[in-house]
Amino acid sequence: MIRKGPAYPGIGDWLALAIAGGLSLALLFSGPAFRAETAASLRATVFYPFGLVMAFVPAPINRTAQDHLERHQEALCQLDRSQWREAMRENDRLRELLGFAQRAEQTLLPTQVVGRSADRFGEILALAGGAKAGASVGQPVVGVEGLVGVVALLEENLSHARTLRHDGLAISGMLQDSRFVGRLRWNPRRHRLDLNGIPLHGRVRPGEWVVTSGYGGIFPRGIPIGEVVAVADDSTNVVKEIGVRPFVDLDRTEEVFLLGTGPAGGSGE
Amino acid sequence: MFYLRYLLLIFAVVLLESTVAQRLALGPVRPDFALALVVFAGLFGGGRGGVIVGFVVGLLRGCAEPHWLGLEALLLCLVGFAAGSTSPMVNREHPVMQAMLIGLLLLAHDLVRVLVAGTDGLWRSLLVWLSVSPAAAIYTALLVPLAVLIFPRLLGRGKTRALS
Repeated sequence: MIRKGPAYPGIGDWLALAIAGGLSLALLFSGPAFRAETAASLRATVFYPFGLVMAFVPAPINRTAQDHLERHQEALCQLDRSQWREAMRENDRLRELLGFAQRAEQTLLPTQVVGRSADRFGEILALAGGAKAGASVGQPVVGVEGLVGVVALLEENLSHARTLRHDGLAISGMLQDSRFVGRLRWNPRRHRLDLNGIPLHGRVRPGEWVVTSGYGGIFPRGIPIGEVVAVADDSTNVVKEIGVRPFVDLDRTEEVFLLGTGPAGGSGE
Repeated sequence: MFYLRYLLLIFAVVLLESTVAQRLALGPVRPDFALALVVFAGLFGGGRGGVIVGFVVGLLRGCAEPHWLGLEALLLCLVGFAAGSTSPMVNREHPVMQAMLIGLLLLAHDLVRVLVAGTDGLWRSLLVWLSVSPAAAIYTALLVPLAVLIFPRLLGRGKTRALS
């Protein structure tokens, strides 16, 4: 398998590396706005032939306006149901209190997934709808079944969302029945979310729902994330090791909603 | 002719990655066709070919995450250059050599990637790398050279001329 020959690359190879490497570094160290603009230009030009080819690939589902409306309504119902469950528990605990602050109304901005990165270390969804459509960085992205991710970068007509399967996304999650709060993070080896920080004495059962805790101010409380699929004591015997399977099937997510707060005004309301 | 052929192959790989690559995943392990293409470009086109193909593929890949636009282009350039530099020293037609190079360069690529782009400290980045990359390296190293070996034969051609 080994053969003799010149061991080192020539001057032309080094020159190509210097030029390409220099361009890459220049891009890497340019401002985020410039990078976003460059990416948008590339998508509009270089990816145009891909769009043409993909247009001939038959879609598995005929996405009509009715489908969109039904999905939108289903997502609203799911969100309402989740909030209702939260409210019931909250009401039990806070019955005696008066003047409890009312929650801001939530709005859903429907959008489509138009791209998906094939990165091993973090999944990014490109969503049709950017700053022009009212999206903002840090906005939660939800699907019909529950939380999908969070908007991490914004362009004029496109936003990029880190999904639950992104290594850089940590979420404060709460066990809906036992009320323990921990930190959720994707575990690529086990292909599930790990819920860390739940004490050993916490009684957690498989099947229990995990919802957003509302801590941190990014995600409102009560958005379904997933259900507990594995419970074990960790090797240090300090906290529990809890595995959570997301409700959302991220491999087949096509339509999502940007969750906002404020007066109802999102399209489709 | 080499660059025109690889331009078509880049087109095919990008299409493949956005359509069927997810279906070829074994749990969390996905094959990395783009990196394998860059390695082949380096092997058969030398350092310059590897760098140019790596840069183009990396730039296209970077569009999916503009946060790190340029990083993937830089890493794949280096992968192409490394493959091109080893090309004169090894039997580039040998599938085992191709598989070894793909596996090793994928591991190196991922290691630098998690160290640069990792958000949660060195140890966790290394842990993520250990949990994701070796399996992906083995899978890609097995899948791609095998496909390169088998498909031309299925099409009635004896050699992998499409890549050289």
